Amino acid sequence: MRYISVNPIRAVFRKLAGRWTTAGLVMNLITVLLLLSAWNTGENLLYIILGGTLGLLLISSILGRINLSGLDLTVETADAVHRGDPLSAHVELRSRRWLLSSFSIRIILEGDTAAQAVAHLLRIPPRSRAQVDLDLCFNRRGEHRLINCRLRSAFPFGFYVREKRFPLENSVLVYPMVYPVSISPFERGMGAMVRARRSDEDGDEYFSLREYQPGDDIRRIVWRVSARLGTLVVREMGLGTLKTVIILLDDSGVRTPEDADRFETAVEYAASLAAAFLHKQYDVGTAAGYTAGIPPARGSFQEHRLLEWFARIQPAKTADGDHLLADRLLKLRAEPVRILCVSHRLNPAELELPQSCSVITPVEVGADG
Amino acid sequence: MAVMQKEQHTTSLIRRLIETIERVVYGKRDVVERCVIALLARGHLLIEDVPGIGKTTLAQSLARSVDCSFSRIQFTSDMLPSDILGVSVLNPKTGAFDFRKGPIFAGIVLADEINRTPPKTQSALLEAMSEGTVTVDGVTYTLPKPFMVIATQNPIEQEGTYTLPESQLDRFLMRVEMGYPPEQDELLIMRRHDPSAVLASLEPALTVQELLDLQWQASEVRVDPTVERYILAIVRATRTHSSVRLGASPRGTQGLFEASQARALLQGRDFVTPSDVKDMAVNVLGHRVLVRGRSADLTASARERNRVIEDILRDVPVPD
Amino acid sequence: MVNLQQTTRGAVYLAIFSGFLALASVRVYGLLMAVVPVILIALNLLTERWETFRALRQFKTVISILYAVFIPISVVLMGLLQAVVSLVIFIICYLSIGRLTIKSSYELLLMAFFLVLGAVVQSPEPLIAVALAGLLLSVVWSFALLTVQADRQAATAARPAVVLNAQGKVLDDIWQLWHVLGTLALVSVAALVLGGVLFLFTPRVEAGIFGRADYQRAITGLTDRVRLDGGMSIYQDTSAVMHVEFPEEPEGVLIPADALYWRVTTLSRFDGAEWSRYQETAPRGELPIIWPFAAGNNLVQIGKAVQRDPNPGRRLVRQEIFVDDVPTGALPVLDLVQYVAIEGDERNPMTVQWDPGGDYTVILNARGPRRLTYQAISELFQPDPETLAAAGWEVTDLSQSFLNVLLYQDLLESTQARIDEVTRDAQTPYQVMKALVDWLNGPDFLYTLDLPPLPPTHPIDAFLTQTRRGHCELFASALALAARYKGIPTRVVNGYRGGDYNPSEQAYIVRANMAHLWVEAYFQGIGWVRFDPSPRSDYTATGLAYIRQRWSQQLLLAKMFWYRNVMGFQGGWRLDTLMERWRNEHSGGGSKALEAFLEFTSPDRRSRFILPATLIFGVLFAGTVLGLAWRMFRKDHSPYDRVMLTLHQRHARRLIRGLRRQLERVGVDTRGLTAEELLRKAAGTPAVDQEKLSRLLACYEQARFGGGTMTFRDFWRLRGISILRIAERRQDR
Repeated sequence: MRYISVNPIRAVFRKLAGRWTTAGLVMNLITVLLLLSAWNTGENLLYIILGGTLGLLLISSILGRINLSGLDLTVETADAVHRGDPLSAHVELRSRRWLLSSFSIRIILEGDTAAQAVAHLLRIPPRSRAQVDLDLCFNRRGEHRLINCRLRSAFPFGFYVREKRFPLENSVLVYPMVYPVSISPFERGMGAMVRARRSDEDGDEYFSLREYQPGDDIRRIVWRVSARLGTLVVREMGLGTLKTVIILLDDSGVRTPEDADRFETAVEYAASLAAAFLHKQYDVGTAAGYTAGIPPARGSFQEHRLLEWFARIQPAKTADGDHLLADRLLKLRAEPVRILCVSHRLNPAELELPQSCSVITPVEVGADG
Repeated sequence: MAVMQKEQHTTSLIRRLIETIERVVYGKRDVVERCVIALLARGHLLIEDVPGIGKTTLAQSLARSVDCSFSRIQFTSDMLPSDILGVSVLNPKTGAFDFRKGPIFAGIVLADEINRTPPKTQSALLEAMSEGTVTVDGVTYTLPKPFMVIATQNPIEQEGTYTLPESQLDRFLMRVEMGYPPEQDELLIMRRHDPSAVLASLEPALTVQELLDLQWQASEVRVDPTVERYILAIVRATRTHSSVRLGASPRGTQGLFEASQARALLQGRDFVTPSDVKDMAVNVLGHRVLVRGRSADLTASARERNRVIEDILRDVPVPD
Repeated sequence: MVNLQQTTRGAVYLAIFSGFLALASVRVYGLLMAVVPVILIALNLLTERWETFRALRQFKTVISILYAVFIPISVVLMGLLQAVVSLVIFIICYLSIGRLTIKSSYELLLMAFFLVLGAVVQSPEPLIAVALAGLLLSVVWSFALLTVQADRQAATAARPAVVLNAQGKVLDDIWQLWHVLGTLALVSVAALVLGGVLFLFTPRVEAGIFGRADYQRAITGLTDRVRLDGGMSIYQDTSAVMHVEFPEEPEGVLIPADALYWRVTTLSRFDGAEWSRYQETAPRGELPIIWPFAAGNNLVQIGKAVQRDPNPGRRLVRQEIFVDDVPTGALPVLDLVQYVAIEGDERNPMTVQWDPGGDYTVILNARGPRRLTYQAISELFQPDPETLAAAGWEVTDLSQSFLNVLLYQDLLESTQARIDEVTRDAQTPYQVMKALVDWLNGPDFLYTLDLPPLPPTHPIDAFLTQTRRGHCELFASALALAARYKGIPTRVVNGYRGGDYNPSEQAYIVRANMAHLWVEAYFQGIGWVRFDPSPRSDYTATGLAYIRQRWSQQLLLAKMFWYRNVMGFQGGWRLDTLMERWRNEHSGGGSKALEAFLEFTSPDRRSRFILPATLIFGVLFAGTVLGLAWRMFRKDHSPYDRVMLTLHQRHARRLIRGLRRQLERVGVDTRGLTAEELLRKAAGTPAVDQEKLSRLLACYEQARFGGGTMTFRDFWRLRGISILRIAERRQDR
């Protein structure tokens, strides 16, 4: 997954919209009045002034029309951003014209949910490029889109504002906000649930000693004990403590808007928890009642996969999903994993989960901060 | 007069060092200079770049040029700290435990692909770097002097990597990118028959004592109070910039200070000018700031950080 | 260093200045109006930073309330138009106090426009052309720059945009700004040209539905009365008042040169201290005829042209005359006018008519400005001396009442004795006149503009017997009274004498200081004959007066152009025929009330140009105030100033600061650049200079940061290098 998603937008502009400003309306009014009074009195001075105002209006209309023509737009954004962090969008404007520059353009980037950023470009010469970085803030997690990029200009005199609209197709995934959580309360109870298993592999907790067998990694030889015993002894590592965690997210039973808010809090907490475990070199996976989960793994790539899952997950609206969670839990218990259940409900007893599964609820989340 | 002679001597030494390295490393004058600056400033270097670019060659030629011992550690994901630091081995004859020194006990250590190994191993290396000593089984062993770690990270691969956390990056004085060589030089590289032979034939340009002397001289380079304020202003500006989540620490200030001194010495001066500071700022401070927003790719995040530093350099007034 | 906000402010200031300049071009207000905007601009610069003071805002509220109360009073005092103008001026003053925001800038522009409109309806001088041009330019610049400012303020992006040209080079912000200003300059030119073109081709019609504007009555130099104790101040005034061409004379030169007498007013009545006009009454429809005419005269009395049958055997001279300000007495025409036609202008209701007083001068009736171009034909009347000498003493052509007036004099006996003594050898009236003229022209009398004080009674006696020094008034009066004493009916004539010939145009310029008074004596059977006792004046303008003379000549020509071709422009597409038809259908009614309304304008007041000293003082004062304000509010110095520096370090710092300033003046952004980078920017390509520059850099760095030395001499030498570099670079640009 890369930072820059290359989504170039060519100038697919639909319509050059415009409107008069106050100054423009006043100018028009003055011109009309001047025309009437000049016709009335025949005073040549008034004709001179009238010539001036008409000239200004003419220049304004010609230059204004030219100003926004021949401009192409490219918008590059990151694929993903955390909720609350600004999304940096890189906008490049290219002028196809050969002769005249464009002046004083407002570049307005619009995302859905009313996110907007404005930049000002003083001048773009012919056959040149202008690059500007805009920050858009999204306040809800999930999939968002950038809708439009508008170019707006009132050049030259501010009488008439013209606008050129470029529809965009960039989509941005907004991850839930990840904040530091302490996982030590969970680590303590880690070994309790599941039987320890031996393994030749990566567990780094001391498990047992056994005799050296040809083929064992000589790095595992415990020299001190071997010296005492007189034979070579290797250390066998095992999964003393479980370094695999599955975060089970309760995605059902969201009926009211308050439920939805609590669900969001729960998702962010779950994501933060997952990140914390990952940084402590645990294998982390996810599961949920309705949505399929992600199998546990570790590393930064897994972090992205998890964040994406947390970003996209939406609660199911139906009421009868409660038992799905319990089913999922039962399936998971067969695996050598530690399960942490995060739920938004105020009363976790509704879930009817087995006693031994600890459920983290919003109330506790609030206490944790 | 004596001062001038000494200066000329210093300059010629450094020139000789650089030329020696360049006999093997083509077309990388900038990076070589920065390596030498890091060496003179007694700092460690982090090179981020794609494989095959000559990082190993650079480190090796540097080591040979200063007549230091060289060791290369290739990091893998199942490495243990003992693989780096060393392990106590039972000597059956004496019945005691001998400490076999790990590859870290060398003058110049090349830590290749440091982001492939789990944090436990990473921290073993990094602590040794910062403390200058290694403690195994309760016994403390000092690392040789001079001691310099050149670590590399591969910015492209993502699977199964453990990105070096920003707080640990602080321990590196500088971060550089090597980049592809220019066309002429790549042509020369292509035609080179036996690179290892050239490396083997490299004569050291400096003795260890001369190197230590140069390092001492670098620390004695004069810094005008105005330039000190400039350095401080830059570092403090990294803490208040709008795009920055966390700015550089006082270690960064110190790093910039020492690196500017070393660069001044490289240029043949015995005083630091603002140009030195400006030149070193991106390399020294770039990896020490945390910017807002998420970037999954090392290259992109580096680009973002460098842009912030350049912004700051433009805004902070330069002392006249 | 060019700055968007300062340029915008400058444009708005220009608008204010143009508005007041427009007012200054109206005679009523005078050029003093042009000083007011300078004060306002200074006021704005001073109170720029005081916006936050509550006292300032309270002050503004208080004065606006006071003025609101004053408005109805002002309407009563000054008339509606002037009240509106003063309200607009007040609003401008109000807006000038405090900071100029975008909104207040727009309002100021609108107010300046209103000022210009207010001036346009009050028949301004051609200076209004400058004000109009200034307003157009400032409108173009202000609107454009205010738009840019508003757009800039709306931006939320933290960092500005980076622009790369086709080769990928990043464009300097300053360079961009220069381009904007350059484009605006081009747009200004286009606006001026387009305005002119549209002016020429706009369809025109003159509806006159709401009546027409009334103009000020102008007062001119020559008057209907001449007081002997008051000096004519226009003697020193070299401003051009008339432009004359003789289309039928070779090369436009009139021969003889001494025929250049321009008659305006005849003053027949003398009351001891003052000459004034005498109106001879005549039956209706007829002119009181003094001169013999052929019977069955063809006389056109009043209209766009007047004429009479020419007397046979006299030389006719055709003239084409432009007068900036026609005297109320009559149109200045060469000696005996036979025909006058004024150039048609359907709008301005001017007519000419023969003077009912029987002077054979032509009067101009105009309710508007009294500028005029007219054609005239004059008879040059030079009776030969023999005929004149033969004329007798008996005069029967004139009525008795008129004769009484023409013979009245109050000379003392001593004076009379002196006159008798001078004319003892003369027998005929002509000989008497000649003797008197010779006497007054002789060594006994001195023509001078320095008048010794004359007694309030019998001033001419004092002139003739004691002081014998004076100007044309005294000479003419003396001649007239003396001739009257001897029984010759005489009167004085007010007008101009002479003219400066301009070979490039083949035209004459008559100036104000050529105003003259001479004498006409009546000879039975011949008519009024001219006698001029004043010697020719030797006044030639030198130095400043000469410059003023040339300048006023150019001004007159410019004014001629303005009035003939711009104000009097009759081109375009005229839709008047439609209006005429409409007017014929709806003739009469309505406009009378409107005319009365338009009479509501201010009373006549002569405006004079204020002494240059006042203006110079005002400018100096404003300049000082502005300079002080600038120093007070200059930008902060660098934060490194608190560090103590040695003398050598200071020299080094001065060196680099000078370099930085030079680069900024050329338009380079020097923010965040070290000395090395600055020098690189300033470097050229020849290798020789590179070496000098690197030496310069090494000296600077050694002195500034390395504890080295830089004496003042070193500094001066090195400074020379850096200046040289910049000058060359400027050439490259």
